[in-house]
Amino acid sequence: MTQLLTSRDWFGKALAAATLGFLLAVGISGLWTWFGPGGFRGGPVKMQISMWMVPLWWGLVCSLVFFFPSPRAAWGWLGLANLVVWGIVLGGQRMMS
Amino acid sequence: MRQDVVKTYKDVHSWVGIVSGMFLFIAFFAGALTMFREPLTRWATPPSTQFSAPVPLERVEELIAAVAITHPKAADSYTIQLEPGPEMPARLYWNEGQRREPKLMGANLAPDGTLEVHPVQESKLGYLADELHRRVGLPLPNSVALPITGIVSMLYFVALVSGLIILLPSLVKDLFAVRVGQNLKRMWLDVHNVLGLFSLPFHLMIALTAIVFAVHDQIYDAQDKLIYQDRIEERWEDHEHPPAPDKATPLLSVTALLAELKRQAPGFTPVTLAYSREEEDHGGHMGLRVAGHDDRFGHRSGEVGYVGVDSTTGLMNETEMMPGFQKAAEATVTSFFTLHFGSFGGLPVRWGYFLMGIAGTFIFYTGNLLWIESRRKRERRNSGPVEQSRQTYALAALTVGVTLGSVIGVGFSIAAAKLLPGRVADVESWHIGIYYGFFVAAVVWAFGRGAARAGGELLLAAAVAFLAIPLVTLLAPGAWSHPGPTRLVDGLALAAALTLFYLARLARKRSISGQPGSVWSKSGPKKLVSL
Repeated sequence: MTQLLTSRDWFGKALAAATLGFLLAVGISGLWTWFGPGGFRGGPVKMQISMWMVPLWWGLVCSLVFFFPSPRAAWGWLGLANLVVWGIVLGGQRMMS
Repeated sequence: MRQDVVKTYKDVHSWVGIVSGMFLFIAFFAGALTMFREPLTRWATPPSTQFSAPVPLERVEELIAAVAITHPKAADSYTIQLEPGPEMPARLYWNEGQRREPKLMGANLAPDGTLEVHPVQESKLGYLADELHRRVGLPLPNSVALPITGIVSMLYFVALVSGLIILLPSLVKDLFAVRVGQNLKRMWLDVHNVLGLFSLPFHLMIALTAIVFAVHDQIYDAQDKLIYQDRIEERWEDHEHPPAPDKATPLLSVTALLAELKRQAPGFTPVTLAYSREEEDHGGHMGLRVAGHDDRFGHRSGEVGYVGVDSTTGLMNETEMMPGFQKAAEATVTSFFTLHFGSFGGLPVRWGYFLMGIAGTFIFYTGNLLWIESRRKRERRNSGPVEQSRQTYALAALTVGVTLGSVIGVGFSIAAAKLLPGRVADVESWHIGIYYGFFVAAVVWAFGRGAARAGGELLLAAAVAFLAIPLVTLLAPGAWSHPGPTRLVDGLALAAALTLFYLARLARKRSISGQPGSVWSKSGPKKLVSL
């Protein structure tokens, strides 16, 4: 039987979204910055787009985080997503420099 | 959708809504006003008697030469106003003060060639409405208020997504239904949903852009540390600079320059020409940035877009923010700004944004009402006789006090615009003081009298505040009225006053005949705190 969702454990989920969600959003903007058109030195317009995408991803995480069955799951999955995204960003950085 | 998901997201929606709703009410109300920032500024600026009619553009070079002799500081950095009006009565402007403490000076030539130089001060009223909007009503410095605006905007985004999630299962059934009838909660919910769903794209866009405007510095800082390896300043320079003209080449005359600009961009209407000499290591030539608009495209600021122009040839050399001349990526970034500011499509879009802003305040207001009404129901089910909890009364009083307080404060602050100049030294502080004075008084009043009584009374006060705006224009000694569309400010204020009088009557009726035990009924507990 699946566990029923509840809003009682909101704090742990919200905190995970606020912190790991932000880190993940910046990581995704890093994917764009390093591997998007024009590469790392893509110029100021690309940098602005990179900044603008952060609130979008961060906002989606903050909104949808309550779908996780528990705060532990939220921290775990968001942590894993961060590892993957930042692994690609930092690994790619090392290979390219 | 699973019932537990809907229930969870109902709770999320309620709580992020209740925390952010009152901030958002003020932000939307003030934001709607900023749609008419320019007319408001003109309306509130006293007529200038110091300057003759603006010197024709053919004689601007003569004016610049004359100013350069008496005010050397102006020679290297000045702005030519192409559309002077009551708020900008002179032809030429420069900053005689410091960067941080600007002192704006205006210059013009009388028909006989006499140089006229005077300090100029346009009314801060439109600017203050924008400040109130950006700081979600908080009287705090930007360094504190803007992060709070960022948090409020994020809660707003979460409220939108969670609202959509809980509406989805009953979407088809509820979408076109506004059930007006005995069940008031049902009606408010229908209104709340229909407004929210049909304006959802607008609100999602406003929420996301508001987060960026509030906390972009912090996001850039994080990216600097984590992505740009502490070298973001260098990365900003990763682009080609336009070739600089030789600093010895004479400037093109203003009329020739405007003709050249018109040839390149026929649909663009320039408003100001800002000249400023570059540093020696950048060539030492005279830089030129033209601000103007082309209603077929979006604009980077609330009113205008910008184009860099070679001051010696009149050729455009920097079109990143030039309406209609942007590359796809540049136009994309500009679209984020222009969609928030409503600075595209001219007057019809501006009115549309004004109405969307006012409609937005209703979403937040009805949201609070629903919170109150649903708590009321829950209590009744548990404890038989209806006795509202202290919190429900407090939230009702807060809702009435904050929303109407900001309306009353804005009304009286605008009405004061034609009374303050010449009577007090610091007009700006008086505007701010009047706003917060009435705002705080209204909140205190609402808590002292309870929501039921205060609702009608504060609506009446708001009506009086907005009625004061045209009355001051008509009757106050020394008040002025510029010809043209700024008279619409008085007209709109009058329409607002009449609407508020009508609402005040409705609220009074309800407090007498409403359901006993409702927070909106006078028969409920009379006071929360005694005054």
